[in-house]
Amino acid sequence: MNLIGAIALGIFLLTLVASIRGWIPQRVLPIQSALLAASALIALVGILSGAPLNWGDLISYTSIHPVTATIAGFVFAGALRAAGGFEAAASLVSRVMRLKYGSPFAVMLLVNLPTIFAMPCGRIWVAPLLPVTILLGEEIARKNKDRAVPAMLVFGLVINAAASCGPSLIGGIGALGEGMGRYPAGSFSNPQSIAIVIISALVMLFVKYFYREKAPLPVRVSADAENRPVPEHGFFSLIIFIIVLGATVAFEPPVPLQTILVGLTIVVMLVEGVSINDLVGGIMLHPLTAMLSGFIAAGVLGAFGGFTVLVGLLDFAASSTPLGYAGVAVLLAYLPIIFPMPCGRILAVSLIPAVLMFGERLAEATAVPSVQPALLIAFILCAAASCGPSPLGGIGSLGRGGLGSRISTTAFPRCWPY
Amino acid sequence: MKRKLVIINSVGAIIILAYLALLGVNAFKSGYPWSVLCYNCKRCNPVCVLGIDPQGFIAAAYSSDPNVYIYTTNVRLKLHDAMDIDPGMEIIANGEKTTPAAALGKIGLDPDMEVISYRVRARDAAVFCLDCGACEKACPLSLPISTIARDLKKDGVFRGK
Amino acid sequence: MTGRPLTILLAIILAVLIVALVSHHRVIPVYPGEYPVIAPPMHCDIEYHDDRVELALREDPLLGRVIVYAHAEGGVYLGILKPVYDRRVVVRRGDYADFRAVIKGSSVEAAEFLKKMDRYEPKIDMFDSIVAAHDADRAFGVQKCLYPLCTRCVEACKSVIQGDNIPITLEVKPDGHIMPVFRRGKCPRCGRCFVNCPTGSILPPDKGRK
Repeated sequence: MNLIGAIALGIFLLTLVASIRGWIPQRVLPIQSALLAASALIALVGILSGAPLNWGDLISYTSIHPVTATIAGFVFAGALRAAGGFEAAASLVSRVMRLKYGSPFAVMLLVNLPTIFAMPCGRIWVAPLLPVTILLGEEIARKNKDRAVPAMLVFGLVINAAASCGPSLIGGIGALGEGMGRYPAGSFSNPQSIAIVIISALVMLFVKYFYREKAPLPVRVSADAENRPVPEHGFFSLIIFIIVLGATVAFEPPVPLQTILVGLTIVVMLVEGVSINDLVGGIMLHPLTAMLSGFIAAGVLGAFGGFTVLVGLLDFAASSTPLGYAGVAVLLAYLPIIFPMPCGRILAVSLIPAVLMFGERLAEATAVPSVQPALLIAFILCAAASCGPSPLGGIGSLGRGGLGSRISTTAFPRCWPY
Repeated sequence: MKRKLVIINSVGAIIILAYLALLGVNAFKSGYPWSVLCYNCKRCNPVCVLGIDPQGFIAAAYSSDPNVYIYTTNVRLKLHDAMDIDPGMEIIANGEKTTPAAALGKIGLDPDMEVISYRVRARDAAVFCLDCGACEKACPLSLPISTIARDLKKDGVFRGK
Repeated sequence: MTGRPLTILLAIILAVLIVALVSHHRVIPVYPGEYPVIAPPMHCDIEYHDDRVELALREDPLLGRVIVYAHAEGGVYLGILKPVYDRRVVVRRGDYADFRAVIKGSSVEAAEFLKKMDRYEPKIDMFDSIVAAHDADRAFGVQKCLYPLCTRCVEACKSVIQGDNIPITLEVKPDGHIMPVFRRGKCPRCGRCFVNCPTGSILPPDKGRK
């Protein structure tokens, strides 16, 4: 076994567990700094022991697309907020709620919107939808006198959005898995979408029934959203956003999503006179830097053979322990949830070859060929959704921030349904 | 957070953001600024008969390093050829993953044996590339991926170098 | 005040339409010159051994690789991409087919890769397939053109000529190999087919004459 790879893997996992468990307090060393320090330490150990570090190999582990798409999404969310799109959405939802069966329809639509129009990063939807979801949750909470509703809705939305990069055809994790496994594009999309809808509902139930006493209270009492003044072009901004994103998902035009979002932002800026400061105000650096630091850490780990060691360990566990290939395959599928990173791609890029290998061996052992794609889908879904429960700058952080909730009260209900 | 920690963590965040900027600069430097647009959706991957991961060329471009190892899982070649090209490439010989150096040295396989590549440097993958253009056809953004392979095939360096 | 966003929206839609129309208007560049020439098919001599088949080519392939094909039952065409050393190609027992295609008449109906990342789905032994084709008097041999793996000539032609009536088609010949077939028809003699052909299956007129 490659000793440097083993040391690198040890440092990486230790840093991850320490950050997740809070042994390294976030107020002392946020995850970005912790991962960066771990990367520097791994590189130092590797270089001192004479192992060559290819800078290019390290960089090639980074996926630029989710980062730039998220930046573009945040920029647009800033423009939408300034243009009054959030107020328009709240007003729209409030009107829908007055209809017969309006509440469940509004909830169902809001929570599942990220999967219906699946983006390569769920943050693109969460950023604009979160305030509306909180408002809606508080309204229903007041009507039904149920304090768990805002948390139910928010975490339903969060897990739906987090997992939505699985079925996304425009550069999601699912597409990555399909491509690497050489399956036809979009072949895993529908089963994943159905699973996500079910998982979102389960998460909402878990939040309601099992964590009710811990669920955060709706501390703010919103004014009646319907009567709030909607800025002049709020509806225009909102509708153009939904139409364009919907069209992008449906028709997959040969134009990068980032360009489309920037174009939309410019349109909203022209219409509403939104300033650059409003746009910048929409950007949240934490998820971006967390994602990037994860890619850097994965790059260093990959460059020194850390992932090869991990696969070797899993192989050993499969052949020499009672777990067998089936047990290790299940463990492998859940690995992204066990070590939830701020972006599922961080582990997915490195581990999909191992998933394919285990899938093949499991298919041979069980004589069921469909085991391999099933394992791959399970892994992809876990990887995609893992940024939901990740306390390290995942989508869940946005939800927690919106509700003013603590990490421990919400991460577990979001893991359990998987 | 204490003042010292604030400074340390801010520097960390700035380094991370500078890293993102570096990728953009690299993409320009290597002569393929469009490489930052890649969705990394791997739609190009299943269409290559040689098993080359065309996204690897793009990753090599924004790494500005043609020596990045990329998946090339179906190029058949003789072991001595693999050794001449790159002793460190990953190959599959007799169903096992190894390197040409190990296969010829420690394992002692026949140099004339036919092996299958697994992970090779981008510049070597470009030499194997058939230039069939299937990757470009599969790309949802129609990125001119094969231009990178064509440039690397010529002299092993990117257009911008 | 609702007029302003509507005007902007209309302007954007108009701009998109104009760009779409302009980008769809393809200019057909007609180069002076003659029609492209289809290179003759590649021939080989075959030696059978217990564990391998050796194919001795009569010419050097441009890419250093050729497709070795064998027709199987039910109109299935199996192919493997093999390297050529000293004009010789060796297919050994345990060399699995890289792809298969379904042939109907003289055209390829569908094709799929069998080699996934590091596995074959399904594993079809090419040596056995060649022997079976030989025994059953079905076609097998080597092929210069990379169709159905490569469709560059057709794509290049389609970028110049609108509609389906393009002068190049790829057909399965009576002896089982696939090669481009050229019909002068609407050919604008732009040269894109032979410029884009990586294997030299379509040649420029001057090389074709030699």
